[in-house]
Amino acid sequence: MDNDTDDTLPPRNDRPDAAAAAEDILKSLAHLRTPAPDDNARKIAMNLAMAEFDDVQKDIKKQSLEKNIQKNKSFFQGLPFFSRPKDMSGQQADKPKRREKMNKKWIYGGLATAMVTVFAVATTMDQAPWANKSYVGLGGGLAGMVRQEPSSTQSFKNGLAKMIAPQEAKKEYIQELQSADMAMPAPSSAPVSGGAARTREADSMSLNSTEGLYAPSAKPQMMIAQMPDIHVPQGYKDVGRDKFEDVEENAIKSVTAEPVSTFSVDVDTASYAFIRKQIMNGVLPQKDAVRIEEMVNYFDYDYALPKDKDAPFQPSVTVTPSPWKDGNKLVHIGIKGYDIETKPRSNLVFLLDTSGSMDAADKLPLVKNSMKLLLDTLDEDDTVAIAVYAGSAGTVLEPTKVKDKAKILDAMNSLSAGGGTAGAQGIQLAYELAESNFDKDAVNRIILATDGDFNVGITNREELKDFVERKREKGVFLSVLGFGQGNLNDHMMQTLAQNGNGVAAYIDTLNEARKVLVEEATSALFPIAKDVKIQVEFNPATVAEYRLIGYETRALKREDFNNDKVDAGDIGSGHTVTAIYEVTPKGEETALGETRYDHAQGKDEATKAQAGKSDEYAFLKIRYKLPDEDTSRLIETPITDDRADISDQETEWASAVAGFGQLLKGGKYTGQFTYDDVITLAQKSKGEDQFGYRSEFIQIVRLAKSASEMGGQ
Amino acid sequence: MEQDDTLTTLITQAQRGDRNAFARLVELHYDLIFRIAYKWCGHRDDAQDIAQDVCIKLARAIAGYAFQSAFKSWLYRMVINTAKDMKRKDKPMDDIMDHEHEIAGGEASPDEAHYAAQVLRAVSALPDNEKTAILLVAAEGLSHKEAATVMDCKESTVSWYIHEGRKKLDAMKDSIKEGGRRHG
Repeated sequence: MDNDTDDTLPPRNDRPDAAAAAEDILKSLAHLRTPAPDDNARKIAMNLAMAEFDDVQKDIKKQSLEKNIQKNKSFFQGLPFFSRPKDMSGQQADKPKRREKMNKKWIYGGLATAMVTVFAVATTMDQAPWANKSYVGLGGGLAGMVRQEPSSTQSFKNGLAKMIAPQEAKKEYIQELQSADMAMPAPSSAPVSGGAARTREADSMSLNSTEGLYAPSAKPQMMIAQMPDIHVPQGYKDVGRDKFEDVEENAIKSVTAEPVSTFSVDVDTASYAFIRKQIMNGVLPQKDAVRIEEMVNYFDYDYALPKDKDAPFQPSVTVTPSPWKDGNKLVHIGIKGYDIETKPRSNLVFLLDTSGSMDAADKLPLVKNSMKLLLDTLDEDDTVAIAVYAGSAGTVLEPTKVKDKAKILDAMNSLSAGGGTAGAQGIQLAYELAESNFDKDAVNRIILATDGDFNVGITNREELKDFVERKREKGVFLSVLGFGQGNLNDHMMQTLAQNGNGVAAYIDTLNEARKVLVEEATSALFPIAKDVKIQVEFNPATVAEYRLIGYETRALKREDFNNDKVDAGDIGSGHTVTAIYEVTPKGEETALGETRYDHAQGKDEATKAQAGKSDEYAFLKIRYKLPDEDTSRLIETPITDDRADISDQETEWASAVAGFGQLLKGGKYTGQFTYDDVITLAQKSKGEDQFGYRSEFIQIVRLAKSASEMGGQ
Repeated sequence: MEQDDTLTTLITQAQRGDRNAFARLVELHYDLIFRIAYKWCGHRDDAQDIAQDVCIKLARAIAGYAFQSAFKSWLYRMVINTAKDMKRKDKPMDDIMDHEHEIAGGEASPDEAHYAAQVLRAVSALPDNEKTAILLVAAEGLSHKEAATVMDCKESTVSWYIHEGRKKLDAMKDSIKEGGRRHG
């Protein structure tokens, strides 16, 4: 042990090469650049800090006022109904009594409210950039919020409620707060007016903020040691913490440089449901949350069904002009899986997250209702089991035949959210239940419903993925349903569903639950092809550049296509899958520009051979495996300019959705295309719209347009 | 306590309730807070959360800062304690490798980014005290003495932590060098 005080690290006297290695590591630490924090995160942190600062100042003033009052009215102390609720840890004895504080709030109410409402806007308007940098200047944003439809006001209220509510998952705290009679502001009063509501908002804010914290005069060391478990204000943790994988949008590729494009199919629809919810709350979604392929695939398309049941699907290809760039074309590739006639039996296990954070209306209650909907689609012979993780851990229902529906419903109704995420052996239990009832002729599937907590008993992410994958190989699949907002771990959801050969869907309303679990139940439950991969080779004689729209998170390496060991997405009964490439035919103006050197020189013979097929834009290959086979099969077909397997209506609709998705991601490649252009195209191709999903889409585009105008994007 | 005069003034004003002074204080130090939080936990979103917590705590804690240590040291301690608290909440920490492209600021070559991520992962696997000591000294450039203030221990203890941490990093060096590149 060295006692010298210089900055160099003490030298090692053995294993000199190892010393060098550690030295390198430590040196590299010095150079380690950290990524820049998100602008929004910085602003929010600042606002919350300022609000806290103001509260502190108020407390200080109050304390000095108190001292005067208490001189004369000391008998107030000790009266039971003025005592603070019992489990507020770390409280100092001389903290102001809550009732008296409430009265005093009338005096300070104005400023407090402004701060409360202002930074609640900051957190709910997650993505909308502010017009100016001053924190007080958020009034403009607030006015904007109020101007919107009532539903946004309500969600603003929800955001506010979440803001003020204490930290997630501490159910005791939530109960205590309820018993302390801190009712949330009534929906009918607008945020910027109303004395009583305003006061109550300010109250709960201040109650929260004086939570468990020490008096200002404590010394630094003591103060830090006293940092209590209950932090201030914790409600914000449930807002704006949705995690999405960081993704780079697909770039334009040159055909001569990279002629082959390979990716895995994706039938998930979570991204669309998620952004729909955000937009309906008046907020544009974060760019990483927008997965264009999931948006396009949310809708059903009228692609041709396979001719015979031997091939579970056949691809439909159509080339159309690009709506956002003259000269370019869009290559639409559509796949429709056949509808199985006789459903195999289902052996399902519902693995439900019942942690405290699931207590919101759009979480556990919605989960229960969704499960009930699914139950109605099952046959008597199917079996259902229920396991929960977190808090009330364990098996809630052993595998039970749907014939005993009442028993299942009883078990479902008995579920309640509560407790922290104690990491009960949730997932292992679920698989045990599935395996105990395993039927190789049935579909054995775990349906995991969560709001983002993946504390299912295996905390290591890699381990969890591997576990799910191993079980999949044994024949038990996993699908993931996401609920709620603010804590969603979309990346984890996607990964698990992919590894488990299941879908990842996001359920924000009962209607969506109905779509995913009823209408699409068979496709969600019954795979007809697994490990479906698509590979497109472009013809350099006819195409100069191409760009795959979406599927960034599904990219595969060229050699992965023929490698059966590489996992890919599955197609369920009745699923449609769409992929769109934007291509620049040779002769048209390219984005990448001409190269100085002709890179195709060395491949003259090869390109001549290909160029012979001068009417082909590209060649499409699809590999898939039948559900119980391990060797892939191949489907191939050329893509020519004149192919028109898909109707104009359907290609236009897909283009409209793809255009919208690209706008949400910043519109890097869509030139002058606007939200209005999307609406025009969409209205033209709405078609029959039996369930209203397409009309809903148009509504969403309109809302997004307003949100973007407000935010000055 | 030799500290920048303007900083001292700013702190004093903030302690007296000057809102603008406090705002300026937070503005000036946010990046530092975020940076150390990031180096501790290796994940941008979590680092943002930690930074947010610290800013809020600062509002109440600032009044109690008694100028006994450097403001930066005092901040470091708050950040590290907050980071530890977050880790304690039973949440599995996201794999640093998932975000390796963030670590080199998105400008480094994939290999550099990968190496940097490996390093961060190795360091984050160290026990808390060793990790803190190494981050403060090697990454933040503090002297052992300054680090000792932050960690509230003897200077020799800091040296010991670093020594122990280095031993462990040595042992991990093989996994860092070639580093099994993760499969997508």
